[in-house]
Amino acid sequence: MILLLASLAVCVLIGIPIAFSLGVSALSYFLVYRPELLSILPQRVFSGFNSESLIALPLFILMGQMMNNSGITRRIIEFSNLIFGKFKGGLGGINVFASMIFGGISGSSASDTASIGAILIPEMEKKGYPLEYAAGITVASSTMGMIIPPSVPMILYSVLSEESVGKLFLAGAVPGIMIGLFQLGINFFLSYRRDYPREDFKYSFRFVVNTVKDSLIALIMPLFVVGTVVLGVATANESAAFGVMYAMLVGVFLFRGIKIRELPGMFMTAIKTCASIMIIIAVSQLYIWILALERVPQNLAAAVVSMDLDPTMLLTTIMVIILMAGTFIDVSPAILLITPVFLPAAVAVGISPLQFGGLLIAGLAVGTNTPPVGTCLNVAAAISKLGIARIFRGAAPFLAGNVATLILICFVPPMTLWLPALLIGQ
Amino acid sequence: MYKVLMAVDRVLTKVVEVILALLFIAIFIMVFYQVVLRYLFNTSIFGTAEIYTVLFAYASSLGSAVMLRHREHIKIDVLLNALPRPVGKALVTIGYVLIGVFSYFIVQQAIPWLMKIRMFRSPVTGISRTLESVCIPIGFGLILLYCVVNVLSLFLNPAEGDQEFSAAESDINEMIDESKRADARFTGEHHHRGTDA
Repeated sequence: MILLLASLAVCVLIGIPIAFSLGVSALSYFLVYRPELLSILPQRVFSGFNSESLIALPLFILMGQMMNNSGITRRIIEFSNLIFGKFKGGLGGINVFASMIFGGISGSSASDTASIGAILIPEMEKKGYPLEYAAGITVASSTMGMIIPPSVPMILYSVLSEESVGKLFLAGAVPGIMIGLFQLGINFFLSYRRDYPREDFKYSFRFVVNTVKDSLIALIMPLFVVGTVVLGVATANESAAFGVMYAMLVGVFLFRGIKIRELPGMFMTAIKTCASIMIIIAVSQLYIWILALERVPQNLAAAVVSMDLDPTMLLTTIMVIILMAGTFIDVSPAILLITPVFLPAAVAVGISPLQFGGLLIAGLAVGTNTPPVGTCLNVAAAISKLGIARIFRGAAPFLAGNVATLILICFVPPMTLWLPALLIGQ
Repeated sequence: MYKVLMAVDRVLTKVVEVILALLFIAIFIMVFYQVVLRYLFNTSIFGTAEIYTVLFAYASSLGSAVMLRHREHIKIDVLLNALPRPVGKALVTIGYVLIGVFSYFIVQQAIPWLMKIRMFRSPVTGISRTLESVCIPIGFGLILLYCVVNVLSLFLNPAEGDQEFSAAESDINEMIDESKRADARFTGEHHHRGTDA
């Protein structure tokens, strides 16, 4: 095990892509300890690629990309402006609320930062907000992108935990909204103390009607996609395919933000993005196989049970591990490494996989905001030209909302279990 | 020799990218067609799921290789960028050698495995298991080739070699530019509709 973990750490540190770092360290294990099992390599990798339930992954990525390219962001921002613009610190509120809506469309935090940040960071700076604050609130609010359903990381977790995607989508809904409410509260508290400006706008009735109509067209999509999965009307693959068709029709014909000739390129980009996740999934099958061979999850579960740990205590410990892992590892590999090791231990003490999943995804979302590998920080740095340390400082007050939510997930199980039980049942 | 290799690489990568787009379009059409058949006509075509799962495995395998060529895989390059460039280049080379060794073992071990499963067929469509699984040696063979191309480019083509250290940055800039373009298109359209405040 030491060889496995040490070689993985070295490979990751010297900049080998995570997928291949996992592969190289697994290979070193087989060569040193189990050369007779080398033939398992292609079989395990193929089992990772050969997954019908993961076809939803590229479809959801494509759906988000199409909605983003259709020009939906500005519509969502204008819609949010109608609600929050008249408050002090209105642009901050718009930023958070737009991210809540955008989270339901894109399912990705980095894309949320790029889309909303490209418009709102310069706008907030122009209106007199400190740049650090503008970039900070943008990255912190984008964490909701991967928590609010439909969520790409939740699909990944559902495959590993063998838990229903519909239930997991719902398990993320309350924590996602809770983070948004916390961040809205923090924004308005700071804005009133620092006297940040209100938005000065006068919209015609026609403009308001058009904005609400356009936003509703965008909002229907995630509601329908999540709704059909949750109610068991369609599988995640089917609802994602429907979502792609809807986004394509809206983007090409209604919003006219996408040209038909751009579609093949969008398909190619989405499948390539997905492939970079799929290779991690495929190669991590080797890793998971070795962990099972060495009985790591079983031993950990047995140790936890023998220690008679309280579920809340265990979850709090896992939360700290998730936050630390998220600081150094990207979301997909972190899910693939943490779930097989810690989920059996959590289940052994009576923790629901839904609660664990909510904690895992919400915890890793914070990692997109922490140096040195915070994806969203890098995106916001490119937009604002600020260093990532300063952006992190700006984001810190809002991330307190995320941490508060994480603690609530640990101590209040209904945060993640109530909605799935209400709408789907046990 | 390098120029010939690069010419082959350009054509090969383009072809693989076109295949990727076609595979994904085919997957989308099949999944969507199933939805239409199931909900509008209360019927379905047997075996479609088997076919699109195989296509997805091919797309994932080929896509992984192309992403390596474009240096777009998820990685942590903080240390790589903090080190002096010659040291960074040495580490990148070591990285590609290790990826190459891993891919070689996958391809090498895949051949006897594929021979062993050639008699088996999928339950509904009857597709040969070998045909399903051959995407593994194809994908990892390509990865092996791209390791060689990327290492040579690192030393023989400085402009391309530099991307090794700035690929993440250019990805981010591309994402931001795309968002700005989408917004600019919307703003133009919005102006055209005459609904500005």
